[in-house]
Amino acid sequence: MPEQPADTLREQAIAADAAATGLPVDAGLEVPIAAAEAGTEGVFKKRLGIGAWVAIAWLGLLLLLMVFAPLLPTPGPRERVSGLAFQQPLCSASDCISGHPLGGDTIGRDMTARLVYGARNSLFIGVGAVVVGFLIGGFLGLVAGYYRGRLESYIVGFLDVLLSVPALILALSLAIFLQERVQEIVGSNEMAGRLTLTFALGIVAIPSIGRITRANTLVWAQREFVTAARAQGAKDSRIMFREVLPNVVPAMAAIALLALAVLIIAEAALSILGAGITPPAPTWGNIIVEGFDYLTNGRAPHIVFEASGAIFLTVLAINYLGDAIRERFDVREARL
Amino acid sequence: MGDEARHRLRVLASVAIGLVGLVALIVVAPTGLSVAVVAALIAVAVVVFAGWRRLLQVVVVLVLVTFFVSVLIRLLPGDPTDAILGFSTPEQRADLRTELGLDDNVFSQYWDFLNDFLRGETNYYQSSGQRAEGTPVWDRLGSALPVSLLLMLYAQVIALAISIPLGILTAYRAGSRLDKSVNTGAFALIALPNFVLAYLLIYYLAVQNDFFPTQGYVPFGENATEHFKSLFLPALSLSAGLIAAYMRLLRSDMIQTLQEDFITMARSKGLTTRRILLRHALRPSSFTLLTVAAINLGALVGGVVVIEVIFQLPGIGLLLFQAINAKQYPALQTMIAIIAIVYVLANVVVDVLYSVLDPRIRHARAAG
Amino acid sequence: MSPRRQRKSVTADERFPSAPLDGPLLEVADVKTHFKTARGLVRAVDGVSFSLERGRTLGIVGESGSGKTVLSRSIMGLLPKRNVIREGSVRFEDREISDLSPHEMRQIWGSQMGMVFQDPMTSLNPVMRVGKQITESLLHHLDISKSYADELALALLSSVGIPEPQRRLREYPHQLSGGMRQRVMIAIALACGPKLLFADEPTTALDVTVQAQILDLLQTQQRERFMAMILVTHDLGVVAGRADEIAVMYAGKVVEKAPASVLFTDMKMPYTEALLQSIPKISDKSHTRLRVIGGRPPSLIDPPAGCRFAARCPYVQDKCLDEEPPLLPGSTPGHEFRCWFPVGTPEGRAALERNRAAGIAPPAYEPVIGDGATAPASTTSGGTV
Repeated sequence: MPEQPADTLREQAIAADAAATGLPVDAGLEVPIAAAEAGTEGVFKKRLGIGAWVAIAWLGLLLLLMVFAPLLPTPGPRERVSGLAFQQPLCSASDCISGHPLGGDTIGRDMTARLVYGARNSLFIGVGAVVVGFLIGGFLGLVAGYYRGRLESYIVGFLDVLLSVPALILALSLAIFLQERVQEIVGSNEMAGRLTLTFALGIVAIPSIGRITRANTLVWAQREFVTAARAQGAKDSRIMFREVLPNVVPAMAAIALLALAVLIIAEAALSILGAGITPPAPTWGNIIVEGFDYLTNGRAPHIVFEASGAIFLTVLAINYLGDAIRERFDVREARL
Repeated sequence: MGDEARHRLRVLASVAIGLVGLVALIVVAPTGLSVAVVAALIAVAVVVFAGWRRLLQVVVVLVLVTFFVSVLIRLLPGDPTDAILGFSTPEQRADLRTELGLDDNVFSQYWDFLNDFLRGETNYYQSSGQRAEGTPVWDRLGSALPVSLLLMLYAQVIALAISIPLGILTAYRAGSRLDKSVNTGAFALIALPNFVLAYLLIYYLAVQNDFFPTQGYVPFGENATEHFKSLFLPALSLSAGLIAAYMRLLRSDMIQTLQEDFITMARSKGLTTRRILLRHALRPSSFTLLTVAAINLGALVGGVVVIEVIFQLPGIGLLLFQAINAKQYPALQTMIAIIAIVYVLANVVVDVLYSVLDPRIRHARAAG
Repeated sequence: MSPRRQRKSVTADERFPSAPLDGPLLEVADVKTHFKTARGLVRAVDGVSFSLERGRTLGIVGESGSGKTVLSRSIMGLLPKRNVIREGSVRFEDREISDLSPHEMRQIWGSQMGMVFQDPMTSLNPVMRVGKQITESLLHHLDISKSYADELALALLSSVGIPEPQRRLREYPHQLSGGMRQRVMIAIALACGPKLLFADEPTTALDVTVQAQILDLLQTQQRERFMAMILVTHDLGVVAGRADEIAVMYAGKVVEKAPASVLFTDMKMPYTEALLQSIPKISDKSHTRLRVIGGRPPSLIDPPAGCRFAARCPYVQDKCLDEEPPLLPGSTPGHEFRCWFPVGTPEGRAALERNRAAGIAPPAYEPVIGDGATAPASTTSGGTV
């Protein structure tokens, strides 16, 4: 019986929540019968399925576009092309300008360019936030899971406090209040905006990443090779980083991907709330915000839908991949 | 009175007190003492049910959170009063600084904030004439909170209404084609952010066809049908992610439960499938669902904020948004603090319910 | 009228006019149960036949993997439908039940047939009160009021020997001890007065001290209600003295069947002999090595061509590996066994000698006291686990 049912409750729920975003129970794994005599086993997928490859393809495409953005045969993201404003995607009428398959936005900029450069910003923020989350949260989790005892309870307590604030509210507060401070330090508007969001979202990600790292560390740190290493006189830090961490990393890779998906969505949400990067710098989030009025009046819904579609496809791909990896590697937190 | 009955009574009493307190917080625009009274009631409820230790935990968390929130203003560079007041005289700004405690150290600032907060006196400030004037945040909050809570409530109701039958059905028919297609749908639904769904719904149901209003809110008192219509699309957008998550959760939980021996035993008693699914399998499986529903309150709060902005519903999210735009930082602080507090308390209530449903936890608690 | 209403207006007896009292209660003919799995077709039960009279007890004995649990679930019809192939006929009170619809089976379960499961901790609903689990069955099958059901539940709990039954009614399973839980399970199974009771390893999960009490309880209930019972277990000791007839199962088939007294004194199948010999006896000196049957049961997906026990049998001859022995009657009526070189016959003895001389036999059966151990480290034992 758990001594603190409330604790397990939350952990269970977090784990269950994470599990709920998992892939469907796989085909071939029919509900096995109660009689153990039959000795049935489920089919364990050792290779990634076709869905995973499609996901990888999309993400790869995205990556390519982002990296080679300046070489694309489109105008820049801030260039206005006269007459392009509100042009529908794949427009074939006579007054449409060709060469802009995704249409134009509210002031005549090419949507393709906006989206690609928006991807750059959005993903920069997302990846950056995940990195921040892992650097701090991952470190805390590793330490907590390795050392146990009071240190662990302090760390877990700290993470719990962070968890008690609704995530978006926390991100929002940090983004608003940190923005100008960061701007003071960094200077340029665009970079400051990116960094603010990166840190704000990263801090929000710390508790979840911290807990999961801790859970995974707990499993590995109890294994015998750790005791053996200690018996050979290895320092704790060495054991943690050379022995335990490499084993924890594969499971965390899946979590990193899933966190990235969540943070991409969070960035967009923050933009909608007015705490994101300010235009003209594009992110998927603020493209949506710019185009919203023209969705409600029906004139140019494609702006919002294209950006939303980009987010949706990317998140879908990341979720799929993340789950495929997680099914192979992760330890169920609920057991702890 | 038996052990069971006494415990039940305690639980019911504390839940009732807690709910009454929350309702008071919502409905009654607090003046002076009432916030403190409500807080005291809730504290009593927590102690009665969960014990002193839990109360201490809750208090610690609340203090830390509100402290953090009150520190936020200090993060702003330069003079925050510049931003708050806009066009104003230096005297007005100096007055505001004193009032906000910005010239003192952070702890006395926190103390001031706490005082103001508990007395319901945090204000929106505007400059007019000689001094900065404030209108209490609470006034606006009082009318905004119900809207947000209703939205969250409807979203949860829709989500549960759809996900529970789906979850049971797919668990019972695990592995069938129905199951697989529902699962794929759920997977896609999770990846769909609630605002994207909102845009889709707005475009196809409100702009192209006039089934629902695009934006705006009608209170229940005014016109019930319009009220539900105005909240339907927002609640539906919010519920989508929940539906997928709950359904998945319930399904996997029930699949496991259905493999348990006591289900075979129930079958061997000759009970109908429906009874077995609903009375035997559902209850143990509902625990995780309940806890996830609670945990999701956090995500839901975030979602509520976004959805309110999109649909222009005058709830706390929109209030937040407007405060951000107007740079009314003190008011922001209060709102953030309130949201955090409600969230923490709601989790405590969930713990209570959880122990009611699962007798094993209940007895562990009573024993230890 | 919905089925629910219909059921309430008919009592259990009216639905099942009793079959002529002189026929057997249960007739199982060539029942096979195969499971479709990722690895192939698992032949868990591969052709089992027997019949059972009212009020009599049949013991089914076998090691884990022999198919005994699958058999009892098959007969009762409790297996899932997907990926399960059932063949053969099961007649209950002269009525074929193997092809009934789930709705019809549900009328039999609980009221005509009951099952007591192995582990009462997992077989009782942990979040439902004990009383409710009993009355649920009563209210479903019988046309009685709730208060009467409560009274019946109380009486049932007393009759299975639970002290303070009034209190126990309102408790949850985890508040009871293991033995009491099993008694509750028995009470539930017996609630509607079934004519046939399956007891699937009813004592395995219990303390040794409690085992005898539970078995006694089952016997008493059976006698009082004139109920037939099928006692499934891996422990020969459990069925000794409590079963009228014993069937020994191995790898999905019945390898020997006999009235209890005959089985113990005149066993024919080497497997039965091995089982008996592996039960430790009081008369053995201390530190006697436990006799085990070396090797493992064969795969149920791809069973061997000949006798399934051949690989572990000390009497094995070439014929055993090629041809599967059919079930042949023995000297006493009601005794059947499946062996080419049975125990206690000249052929059998000769076969054993030949094997010993050739040194190719699996380890000998004689007790090895202080001798160089010849038993391999294999773990499968036929007796108490």
